[in-house]
Amino acid sequence: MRGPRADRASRLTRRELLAAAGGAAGLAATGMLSCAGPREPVVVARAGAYDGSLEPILRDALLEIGFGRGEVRGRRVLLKPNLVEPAPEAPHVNTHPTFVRAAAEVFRSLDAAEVFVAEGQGHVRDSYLVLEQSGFEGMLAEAGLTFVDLNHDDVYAVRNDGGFAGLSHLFLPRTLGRADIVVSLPKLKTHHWVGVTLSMKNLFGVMPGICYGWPKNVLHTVGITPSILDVNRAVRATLALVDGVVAMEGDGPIMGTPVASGLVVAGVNLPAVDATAARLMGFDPFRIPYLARAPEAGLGPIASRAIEQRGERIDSLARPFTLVDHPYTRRFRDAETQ
Amino acid sequence: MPSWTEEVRRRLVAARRPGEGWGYRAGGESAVEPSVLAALALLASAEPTGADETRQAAAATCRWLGGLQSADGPLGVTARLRRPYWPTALAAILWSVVGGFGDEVERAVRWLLAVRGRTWEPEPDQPEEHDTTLAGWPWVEGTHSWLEPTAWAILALCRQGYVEHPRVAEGVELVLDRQVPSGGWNYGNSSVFGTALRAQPAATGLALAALAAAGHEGEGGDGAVAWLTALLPRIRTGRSLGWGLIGLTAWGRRPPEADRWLAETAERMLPHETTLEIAIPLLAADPAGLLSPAGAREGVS
Repeated sequence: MRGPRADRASRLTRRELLAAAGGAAGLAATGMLSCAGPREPVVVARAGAYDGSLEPILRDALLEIGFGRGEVRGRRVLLKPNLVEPAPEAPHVNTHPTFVRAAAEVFRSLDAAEVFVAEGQGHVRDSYLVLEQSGFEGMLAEAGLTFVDLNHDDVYAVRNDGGFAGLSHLFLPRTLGRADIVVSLPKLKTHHWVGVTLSMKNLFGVMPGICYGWPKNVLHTVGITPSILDVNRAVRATLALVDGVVAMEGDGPIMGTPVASGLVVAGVNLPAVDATAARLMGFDPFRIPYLARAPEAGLGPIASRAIEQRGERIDSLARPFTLVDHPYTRRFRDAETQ
Repeated sequence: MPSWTEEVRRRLVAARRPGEGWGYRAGGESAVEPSVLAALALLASAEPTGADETRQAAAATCRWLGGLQSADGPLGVTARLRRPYWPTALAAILWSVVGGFGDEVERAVRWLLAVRGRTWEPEPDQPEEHDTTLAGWPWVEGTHSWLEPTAWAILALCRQGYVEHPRVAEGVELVLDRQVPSGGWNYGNSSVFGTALRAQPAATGLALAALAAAGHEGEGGDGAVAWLTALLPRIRTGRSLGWGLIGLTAWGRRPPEADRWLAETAERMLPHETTLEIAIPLLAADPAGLLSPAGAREGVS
């Protein structure tokens, strides 16, 4: 594998990654680990509609975080949206096709060798029904983009270096191996099991259903939080572009209500992006278990002081998202404290 | 025979890996599920003139499946992916339809009767609103029971005459318990955190086929039939329309427009070069139905 994705992964050797993870437990609790390295740039941008205005917004966001032609030229780009299930009456369940189209055009304009869309949706096996009813089928045809069903791809096994969920190996789709750049394109949503679902949780969709079942049962059984950490360590996505133009609050990730947030969040470090997005939703990322453990897992920082905020100010755009009212979800509700 | 079925058969025959079976997509590694469904679809649609050739190909696939089976009965997803074991029920059905694989079927059935999805006693304020004490079949050993593997196990066991077995009865109870209020089924959650979830056509069709195979009538089925009957005129994807029609056919409610819908769907799905998207419509084109109650319980081989 080559390109920026491999470059980023190779900045730290496996030994260094393990050392960082091993020494992280105590440091993470105080947030000191987050301050150890350079601050991770994250851009927040306004985006009011799913139309032609998105492309320049995404292009500017990428340039703002230092991701330009030099990083993209000649690379193969895998766009991983969040497609969960067909829900034509509730389009805010899935990443909007216009958002993915805009991202594809940006990468093409930056001279990517290939851009394609791939997903292994969690709730239904018929990918073509999901594509049709989410508006992706028409978009893909019009844009000349191919789609790969990751649920039914050929697979390969990798050792689970993270080891958080107790699984010795993880199975990954072959298609992942032909991508130089993996872009997580989640929807900005609440999630009744883990508080928020953003670019890190979105990578569950990379995991093949033929190995993990529907709705990715194994990952739920061994624990969603440790599984998110393991999957993110195995996949090592390059970039996150969060679709918050119309977001979801309440009983996310599928039965919530739409919120016209008018936001895009972008960055090359997924925990930093998700922590920023969580703050925009009125959540303290330290109350979201998988975000709180991301520094410990060597994935990246979530503390404000470790994130270089660019673009719009969080405090001017943050809006408290509601969560489904249930004793289980109260653990995620505490106010921002960082 | 309609021209679309001939074209689908031609594509399937061409896509088969000699001595093995079919992958999920053209050129992909042979996998149990697409191999079983492609072979069943070819058998169900074979004209008398090509029947021998089709049966030979199906028998060769059965032998390949037999090579994947563990001594204690289960088999995994592919030759390299030896676990999880959820495809075992599918292989048992094909072995049974083709005939001559009694030992393989017996081992698979023994394994199916032994494996149970994880259960737990409900806790106060538990978000899941289905009965977590019911055991059906899981996708992956050691995890909870879900709709599709439970439906496949019911179909496989009923085909071998286990209609009255307590495991089948509990499986049927689980299927009914997981039905969503709108009338259909999804992957297997009816309601979570107080909200009823959405049904999906493929899962609903498969659930109906399993209930029919088990001789279940009435409760649950009529609502699902009504839900699917209203939805399918708008569905033109292979798996969803195919399973939906297989379910309605099993309940004696096959829509008269079914063949036209299948032809339109096959035309849309053929360019994708994926096996299940064309094999399931071809299987659904058979109004007698290898997975119908008669086929499921009595055998058609």
